[in-house]
Amino acid sequence: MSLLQAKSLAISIAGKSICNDLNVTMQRGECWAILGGNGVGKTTLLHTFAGLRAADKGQITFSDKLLEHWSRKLLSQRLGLLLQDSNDIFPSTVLETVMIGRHPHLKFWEMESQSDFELARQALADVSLEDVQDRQVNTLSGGERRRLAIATLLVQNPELFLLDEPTNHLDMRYQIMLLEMLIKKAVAQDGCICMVLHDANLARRYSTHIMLMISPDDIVIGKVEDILTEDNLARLYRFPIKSVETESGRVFLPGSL
Amino acid sequence: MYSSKHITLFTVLVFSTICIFISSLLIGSVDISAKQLLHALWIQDDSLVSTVVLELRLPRTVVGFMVGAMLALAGALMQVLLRNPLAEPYVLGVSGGASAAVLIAMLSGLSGFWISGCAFIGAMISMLLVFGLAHGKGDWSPARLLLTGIVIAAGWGAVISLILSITQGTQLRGMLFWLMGDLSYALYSHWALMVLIICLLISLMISRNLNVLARGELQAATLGVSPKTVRYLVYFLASLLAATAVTLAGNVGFVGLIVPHAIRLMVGSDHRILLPAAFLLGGCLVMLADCLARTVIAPQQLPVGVLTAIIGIPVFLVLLRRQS
Repeated sequence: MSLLQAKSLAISIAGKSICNDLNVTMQRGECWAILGGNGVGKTTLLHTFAGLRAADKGQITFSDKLLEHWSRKLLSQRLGLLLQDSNDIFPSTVLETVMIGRHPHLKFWEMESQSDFELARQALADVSLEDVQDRQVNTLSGGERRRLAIATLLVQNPELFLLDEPTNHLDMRYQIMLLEMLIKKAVAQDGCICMVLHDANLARRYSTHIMLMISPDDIVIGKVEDILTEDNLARLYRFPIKSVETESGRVFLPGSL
Repeated sequence: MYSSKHITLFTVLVFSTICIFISSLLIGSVDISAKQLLHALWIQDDSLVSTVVLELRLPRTVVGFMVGAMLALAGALMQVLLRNPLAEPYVLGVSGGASAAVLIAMLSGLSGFWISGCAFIGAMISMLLVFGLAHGKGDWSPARLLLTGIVIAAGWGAVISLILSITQGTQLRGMLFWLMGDLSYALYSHWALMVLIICLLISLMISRNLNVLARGELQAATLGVSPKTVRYLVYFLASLLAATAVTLAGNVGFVGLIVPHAIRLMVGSDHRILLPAAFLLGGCLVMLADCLARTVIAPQQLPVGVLTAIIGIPVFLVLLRRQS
């Protein structure tokens, strides 16, 4: 059973076409990476998958039901989106912030229960923020805020994780730690990950499937080993790319013009 | 989950509300003892004390509380709606519309009930105008709503200045008092109380949605909140509260801006705590200001709006300093 499926999808933003006829099926247990140059529409595509904006043409089904037929609340219990950046205007603590991830799971009169707090503390521990749970969010560093956003998504506990540049602001250790942890969580609930990345090496290391957004009419989709080649990446970034075989697999490096 | 900090806060607020409420009945141009007060409330005869308490001070105190509670609640809602800490109940022109309508009514020699009626109609016209213009065909972003509101408010400001500049003598004083916020002619009404209670209940019901909405529309949408529906509802609630408050007591300034922030500085931004706490603190502040307005230079009265600012500003600055 497919978790997310797009058929003949056409999207545009502000008159600019993002894709004209996209067909893709994401199954449970898969990990997708979307790669593409700046401004090619990766975020817009991800938001469309999350049901935040309507497609021009075509249809998207989540769990075999059309996206527009899902109620927002039920959908958000099963589909989570990590936004590219978060902005908090009003003062709020780390624990309060991570707790909003429970919102879709609570009835409107319900207060968070002890088990919700357990989930929140566990999620903070998963991203190594357990010691700062009473700190104000605006005192955190960029990387810590990124980890907090990931913890909020963990607390939301969806089956489909849509991640918009999850490794933004993260140091190397956390890039690896958190991606592995997210994949473990997704696998544990037989879910699926679909993430926008700028790092072809992380994509090669963690994803099973790849989508290369070269142009609206040229979107290359397939298994990671078939798609991630020097030629394809060079075509994607319009820049020479070299690869080196190392003991931990193939590594892509930017060449020079 | 409520922590001990929240319990302390609510205990203090409820206790202060009761104390200020009783003091407000006791003090004024005629001082009344506690015994006389009980007597007046218990045996409602037509003695002077009874008349003063039941016909003047009680309605005025209740209206004072209601106005403060409405403005603080409306301010907290507006700040989430516009995602702007500087937002307050009047920022979208509700009070400007009410003021312009009231001044026109005063200029035409209307008084009493008509003033309240005009205030409410003016506020509603302004609310619908801003709503319609900000909505247009396209998106309804907080920035667009805020800009539309501010421009409309500026327009009302010009109308108000125009009316003030062509008015003379005694009428002008009445107008200025109304503009500064004045409880001396405030009339208690059941429907205003109903508006307050219903708006409070509805905003408490959606308070967790507000927590999510405060973090941005995209974030809210990913967490299952339909931003559009909640925003329309919040806009309507905040405008209705502001319009009712203006109808009761004119432009009582500052309460709607600082009370929500004061609560945020004390206990954070969880709207399930923030909204009821702001409700009580707003009520306390206006009742206290009104006590002073009646007594500082008695028998002359000051406009209550001036005193809310005089009390509110230093308290708020102290809180802000302590926080940093």
